Amino acid sequence: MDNSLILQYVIIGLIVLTAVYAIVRKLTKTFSKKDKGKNCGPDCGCS
Amino acid sequence: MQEKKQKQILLIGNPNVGKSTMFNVLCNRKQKTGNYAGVTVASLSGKYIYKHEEVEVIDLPGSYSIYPTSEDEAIFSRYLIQEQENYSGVVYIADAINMRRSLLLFQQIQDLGIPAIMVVNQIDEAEKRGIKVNISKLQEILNIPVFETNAKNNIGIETVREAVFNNDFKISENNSFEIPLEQKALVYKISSNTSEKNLYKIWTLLAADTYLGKIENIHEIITQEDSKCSVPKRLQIQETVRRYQNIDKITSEITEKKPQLKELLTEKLDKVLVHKVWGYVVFLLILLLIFQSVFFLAEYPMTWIEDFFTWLSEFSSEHLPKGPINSLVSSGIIPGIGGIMVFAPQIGILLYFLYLLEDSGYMARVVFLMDRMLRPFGLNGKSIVPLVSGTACAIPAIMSTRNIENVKERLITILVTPFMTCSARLPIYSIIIGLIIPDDNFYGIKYRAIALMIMYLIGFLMALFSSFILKSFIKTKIKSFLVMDLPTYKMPLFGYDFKLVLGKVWEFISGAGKVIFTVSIILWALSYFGPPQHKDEILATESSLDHSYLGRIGRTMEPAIAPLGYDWKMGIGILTSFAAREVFVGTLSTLYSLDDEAPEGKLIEKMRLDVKPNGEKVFSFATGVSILLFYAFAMQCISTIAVVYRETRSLKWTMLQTVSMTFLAYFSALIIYQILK
Repeated sequence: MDNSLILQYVIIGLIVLTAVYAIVRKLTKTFSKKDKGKNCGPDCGCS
Repeated sequence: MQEKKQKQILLIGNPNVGKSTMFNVLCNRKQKTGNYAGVTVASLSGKYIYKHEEVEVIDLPGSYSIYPTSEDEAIFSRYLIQEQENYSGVVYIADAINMRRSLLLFQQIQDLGIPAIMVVNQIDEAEKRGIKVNISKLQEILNIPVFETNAKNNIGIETVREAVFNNDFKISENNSFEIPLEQKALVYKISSNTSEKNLYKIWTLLAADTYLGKIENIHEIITQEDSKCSVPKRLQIQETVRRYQNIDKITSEITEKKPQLKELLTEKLDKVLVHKVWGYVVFLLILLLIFQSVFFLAEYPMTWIEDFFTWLSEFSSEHLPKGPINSLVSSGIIPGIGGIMVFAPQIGILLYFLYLLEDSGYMARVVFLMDRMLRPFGLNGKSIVPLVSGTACAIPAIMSTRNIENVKERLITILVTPFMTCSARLPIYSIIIGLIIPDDNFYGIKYRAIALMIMYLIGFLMALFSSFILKSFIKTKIKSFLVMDLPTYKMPLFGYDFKLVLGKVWEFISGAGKVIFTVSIILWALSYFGPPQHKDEILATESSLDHSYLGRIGRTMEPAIAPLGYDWKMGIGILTSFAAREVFVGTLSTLYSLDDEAPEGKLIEKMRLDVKPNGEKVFSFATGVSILLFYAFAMQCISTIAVVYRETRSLKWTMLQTVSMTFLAYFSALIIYQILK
């Protein structure tokens, strides 16, 4: 395997890891409880 | 020599009613005035002398309500309540052109027990618009002195000075706002534990985000159980709605309005547009026209975008060095993003028509029509607005349910809103309808436009049916009502709406683009690599799609989706579209681009020509209808699930909604496929 191809696989590996991280981050951010406690009630929702 | 007395008065009212003009005339000052709201952003003071009495006039920033939403309104509220001991009374400036809005703040001031007189200003402007305010009747109803002025021309100013001199300020004896039953006990509890006897002042404490009054030890008096459901914003809305019900009665008694050309036209149009039969017929025809345009007008721009991405893919394939990066860019990312971008014109056209309808005043009529129609299904009043806005996107629609005071009615609305056809479903509907419905016309109406309208109606009918079912589980005794003005029709701002649409289309492109970009990278990696074929390999590269990791995942899930008529590629599409519905199309675009055996050409052609191993078409009529129904009912959007959870704060309802919608989608798709195949 020549060096150029190895370099390409390294870049691909980094890109894929970044993509996976971005998706995991997006998921955790979407379900984060950032509004907890402020104007929220268990039966009433938040305002 | 007579002794000079001193007195302080406040000038208050809504923004842009002429307070600053009144201040200048009274105090002979030259404060800046303007024909727009918010000229006064801090309190100003001036003085005048009348009959040897010195009067200090404080001009406060305009406000629509005592509940502040901005810093200038906060100045207003603070001064009004906290400095009450220092002023003799308030001169309330009402706008003769909009008495309805003026009376809202006035009633709040009266209920706070603040001595006031009312000045109805801009009478000249009101007369020009055919509005006549009956001052003596208003005085009789409000039981306080009311004066007419035209501050610009110095008319009626002397009578105001005389009233201030005579201390004509009056405190209302009766409250115009009855504390709601749910909060009454708490308000009485606070009153009995403190020196504060004005119940409305205590109510403002619950309904305001900021501390308006000066009640001592309040945190010791209110327990957590007490403040449950006392969500300030909702209490403010509750108060506003109740006050307007009362104000509407007053305004109908005190104002006369000669109808003008625009209003006469509105009245005539409304005879048809909100008619109990013709109203719905016209609405359906308008919808059909919009869907026709979605297909017809978007045809050329869609072709250009698709051709551009095909060229870009070929260009990058030729010019990038051979290897995995070439494959990732030209077969993964570009086709994935292109597959979504191609639908931007259709979404833009749909939104543009919706904005035009909203701008013209027609959308308010749609809400009115829906209100009448939906009441038997347990959805009424304020539930309509979220449902109608759900046709654009379910997320802001669910957030807008915060206006619904009734907790149970709000919950039902949140649970059924995702059935409304949002714009993210449009790319899926468009491509599948394009595959299974011929491009023919019925008296000029495209069959495809009719099919798209049917999909919108199916979503709407399912929302109705679900709320009808939910009504029997989530019972509510108190109904909320929608109070809204039907505005006069006006010519829409075509240019402004176009700019708004461009913004929204960009939001779609950047939002969906980011998701499909990351999804394409992962899909590509899973399809480029596969399990090792030889002993010395860690993993196989440049695998065929069938032998790749992606192919394996797809094949594993195939038994679950095969009864619905789907192949593994569609299964992967369904899986990725949990991120956002439109990602389904982007995923198929990437997968067909990665498939060496797929025919060359546009995505829709690749899908049309794709066959199963037994020679059957992958996208038959039965499969197409099955996918359409699946996406009509499935809760295929993770952001919507998150918003439902955030708004309900209930994992139980969020899970129940997601699971039941997924079951409904799966089984309706299964049944329809088995019938049609």
